[in-house]
Amino acid sequence: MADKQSDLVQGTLDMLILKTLDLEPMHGYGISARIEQISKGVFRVNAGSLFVAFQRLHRAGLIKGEWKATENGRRAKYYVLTEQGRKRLNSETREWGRQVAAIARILEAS
Amino acid sequence: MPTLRTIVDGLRSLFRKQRVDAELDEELRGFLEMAAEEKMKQGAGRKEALRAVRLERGNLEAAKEVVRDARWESFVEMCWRDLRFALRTLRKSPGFAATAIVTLSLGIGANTAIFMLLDAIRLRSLPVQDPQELAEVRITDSGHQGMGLNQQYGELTRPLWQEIRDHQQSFSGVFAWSVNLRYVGRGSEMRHFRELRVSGDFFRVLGIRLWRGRLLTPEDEGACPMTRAVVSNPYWQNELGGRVLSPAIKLVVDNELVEIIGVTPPGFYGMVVG
Repeated sequence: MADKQSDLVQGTLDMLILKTLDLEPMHGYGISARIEQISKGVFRVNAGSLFVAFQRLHRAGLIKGEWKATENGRRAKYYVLTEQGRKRLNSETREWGRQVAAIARILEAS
Repeated sequence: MPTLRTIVDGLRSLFRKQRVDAELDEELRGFLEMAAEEKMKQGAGRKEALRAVRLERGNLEAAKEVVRDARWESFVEMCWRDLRFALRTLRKSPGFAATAIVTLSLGIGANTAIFMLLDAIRLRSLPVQDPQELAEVRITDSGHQGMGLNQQYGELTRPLWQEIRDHQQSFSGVFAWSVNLRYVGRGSEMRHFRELRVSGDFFRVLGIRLWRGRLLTPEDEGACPMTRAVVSNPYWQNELGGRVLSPAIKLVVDNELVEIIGVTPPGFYGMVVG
């Protein structure tokens, strides 16, 4: 299902990135690998969409970027969740749960 | 402050474009390298790994463009590039450029001139209390011209005007006026001036405030030849030296003595706009 997620609502990718960063600060590749891994390969994020999302989140003040060395001694930009980002993640998660429950109720109605 | 950050970030990438681009370059290269390393760990050759990453994650050069295009400032950049390109092209063909500039300036100039004319003649309103409430009543179906100098309103006779004044119900007030040229002064001092001959209600209906003395009222009507007049502010300043009005001050108008009883305020210049 490569790149199927580009059909998803724009906010969904943002939410997945915020959730990944809620676990720990991470660089671009790490974030995409983590999303792929946790979703068991359902979501594979295209580099273009990923970096556009970083730019968007950064400008919205939800994440911060800082250059650091990786465990392999490479330099990489690590993204960190800001306080505002954490709040947004909480509210989005709640909203998402509400919507999923609502959709499930509609689909299961008989 | 998300908006402020957007602006600040945008300005940063506009003015420190190289640095911002280099940063994005490095970030994307790191992404590619790390993804490739992951493939190589699973036993792929380097070339093969890079190719696989490109297939899976999309072209990184294209990704760069996508990221850049998503910024608002790239629009500014594009406009700037277009502008420079246009200027370069114009410089290469000076004949064409000159023709274009001359055409434009002629067009703009002509438009401005016509607008100025129209503005002066039609768009300005009279400097009176409620100019938008004024309406002009005239006889339109004029098969013939009237007598005398004032041919424009020649058909409107005095009895006709009195009927209108006494029986109209559409307006809060009506007045009649005519514009004439008169000789003021005696002998070699005689000079031409424009006279506005008005009915008694003229100043009240227009709502013109008094400047000096008193203004004409319906009680002043009827005298023929006229014996009382109100002068405009510029006339009072220039011809009468702004002196205090008294019954002794009289003008000789067409060899008749006329008493100056008042002065209109500075802004009022008559019934013709422009």
